[in-house]
Amino acid sequence: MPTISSGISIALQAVLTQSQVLEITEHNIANASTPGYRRQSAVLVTDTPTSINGADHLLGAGQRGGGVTIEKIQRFNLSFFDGRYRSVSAEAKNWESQSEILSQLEATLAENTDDGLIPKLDQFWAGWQSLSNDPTNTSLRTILLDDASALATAFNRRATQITQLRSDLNLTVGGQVEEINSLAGQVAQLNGEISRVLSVGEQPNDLMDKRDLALDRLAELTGAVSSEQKNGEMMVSIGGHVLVVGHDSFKLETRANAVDTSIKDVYWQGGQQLIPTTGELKGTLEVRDSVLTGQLSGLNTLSSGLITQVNSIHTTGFGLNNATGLNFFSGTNAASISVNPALDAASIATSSAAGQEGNNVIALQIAGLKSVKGMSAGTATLNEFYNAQITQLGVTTQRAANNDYQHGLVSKALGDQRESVVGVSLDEEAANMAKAQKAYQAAARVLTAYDELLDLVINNMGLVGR
Amino acid sequence: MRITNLMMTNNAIQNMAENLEKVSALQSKIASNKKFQVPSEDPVHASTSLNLRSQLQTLESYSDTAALTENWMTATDNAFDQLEQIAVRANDLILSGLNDTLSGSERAQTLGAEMQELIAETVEIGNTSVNGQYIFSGYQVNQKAFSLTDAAAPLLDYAGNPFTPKVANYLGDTGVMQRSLGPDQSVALNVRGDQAILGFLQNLITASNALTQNNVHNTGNPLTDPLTLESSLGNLKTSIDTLDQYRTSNGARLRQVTSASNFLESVKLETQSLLSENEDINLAESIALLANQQTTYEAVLEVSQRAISALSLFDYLR
Repeated sequence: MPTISSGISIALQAVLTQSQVLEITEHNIANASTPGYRRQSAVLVTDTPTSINGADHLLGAGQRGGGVTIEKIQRFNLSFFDGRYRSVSAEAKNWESQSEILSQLEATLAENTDDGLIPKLDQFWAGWQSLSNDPTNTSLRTILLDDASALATAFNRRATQITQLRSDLNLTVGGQVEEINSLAGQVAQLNGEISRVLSVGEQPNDLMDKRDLALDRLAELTGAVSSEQKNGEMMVSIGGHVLVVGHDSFKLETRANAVDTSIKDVYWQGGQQLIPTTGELKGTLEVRDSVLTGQLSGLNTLSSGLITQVNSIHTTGFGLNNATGLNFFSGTNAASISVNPALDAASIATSSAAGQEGNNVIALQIAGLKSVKGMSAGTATLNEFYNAQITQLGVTTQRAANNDYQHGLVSKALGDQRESVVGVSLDEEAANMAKAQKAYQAAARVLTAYDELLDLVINNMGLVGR
Repeated sequence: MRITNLMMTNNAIQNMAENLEKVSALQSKIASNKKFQVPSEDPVHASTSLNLRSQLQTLESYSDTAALTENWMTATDNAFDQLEQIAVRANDLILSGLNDTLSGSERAQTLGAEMQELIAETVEIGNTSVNGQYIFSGYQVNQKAFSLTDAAAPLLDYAGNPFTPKVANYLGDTGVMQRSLGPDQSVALNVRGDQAILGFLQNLITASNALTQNNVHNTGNPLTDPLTLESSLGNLKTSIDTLDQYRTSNGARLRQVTSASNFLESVKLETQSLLSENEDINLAESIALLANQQTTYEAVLEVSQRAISALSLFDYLR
């Protein structure tokens, strides 16, 4: 039998449910710009109906609705989009980090300004050429010494900058490894909490958001892939090696490289080396171990070529003071090259024999080195050799920037695709809010109607004939 | 596609950032007047630019060398010009001295004295310096080329009195300096004083001695004949020929240097225009592009402010 109280309970249930729907909408609105947030919505279902006995016969007249209730709070997510987005964003981050470091390097080298190494080389050759015009001129000799030490300093500066950048990148790698470890720890911990909540049949929506955010970042760092287990736990792996399984995570660590102890490689704790194939870590390692190493060794080849070529001629010559056998440059590579400290203006050798001030044979020979193809197995001059190296760096930087841009676009497109499913649309929420509000108001009106009924029953019934 | 507010905001931010980046790139192009700021913006042209700059610097060096070489050789030519004037005067003096109507004292005191001045002048000219360097001394550019010293044995003058004749010394060496005017082109810079001038100077001294000694005509004595005024005339002619020969060769090399210098100048201009073509922007075009980009940027801003501050349904719900 329907009773007033059961009617009140349906209305009350409706009021409570709609206020919960409103709360869920509120939660969506509040988190509209929270990173990693997936929108949620209440799935409303009808509550268990009750059978009604017919008035005329004892057969059931049908079932009377029991009102509304929330079946579950749905979290919008498509793991398919997550996987695609993560694999692309890893590659985008790989190129982004390469592009950032390389353009930083390029800017500090400033090779196509007057501060470049090639203009310094040119000035050095020009210094010898002018000295050959007037070997007795002491001021020209002093200028040449200045130009030469500017050239040596330019080499030193580049070597220092590249070495500094490499050790900075060591720090970056260390930081990235720490971040991976901490994220892996978070994922393992969240796995535990999520599986516990799931096991009691509830939906840990916000915990899953946090875990997905950590997985996004892990993918950006290393291209880590994840797969969901039956119990809701995520298994995460990098390049086939498990990073997180269940409530446990494996740690990474850095160890000094066996050959070059100044750089640090990434290892699984107590295991083999991790060579990432994508992600920020890969970008950082690629620049540090391949591009910077190449640039530094090119600089060293160039400087040692310069030192040998100039010295081998200079030692055979005689200075104004008849000094002979002196090296022009001392040092062996880009970091150590300097003008021989024992060399003063008068000892710069320009003459091929002692006591001939006007003899400029040696000066001419050294000035002529600028067009001697003594590098790359006799195919390039010193200038051409370095020009090729700058161009190489330019091309590498350009490719990194282009790839960064293109992968960035794809990553953004896939991110948008995911966002279009999981993101919060305020208009939608406004509509939902209005819907819930109206439903709440209507249910409240029904309550009022019951209130009037009760008032009628309690206060106005049984007064006939009074 | 379902569009969320976050997507709108992110798109707006990305569009603004991309456009602003383009505006900034165009601005730095216009400000620096260069097509690229770092090699990665255009590796091919950047490499060409580096090359052209190197070439330009090299050409400047060669150009400087050519200018200095021209100075030196012009000074050499001037010296020869003066020496030839001296030679003409010396020739006149000898011819006057051969005139039999002159007395010994006239020869010695008028003609001989002037001849000695010519000798001093010749030494002076032989010691010409350019930029502090003696041009006839070979490698010994800090050393005067010629000096006059007293001879060991005195001679007797027309009156039978002894006098000390002068001896010409060459103090330079046999060095010939080279100047490079290009990677494979070099030119000999200096004329050696011992080859070009020393003979002339010695002949002037012999003639001066003959005038002072009043030793005019050949007598058929092979010991004394080379020292007579008559022989001097012939010897002077020979040494003038030598002067001429060296002057001509210097002139030929000077022409070579001048033409090399002109060539270097024109190559320099050409290289400069290549460099400018390679890396300089077309200002009018860039400014037009910038104006266009700015318009686009303004449009993006306008659209973005609508997208971000966009009205939402909330504004209309009562």
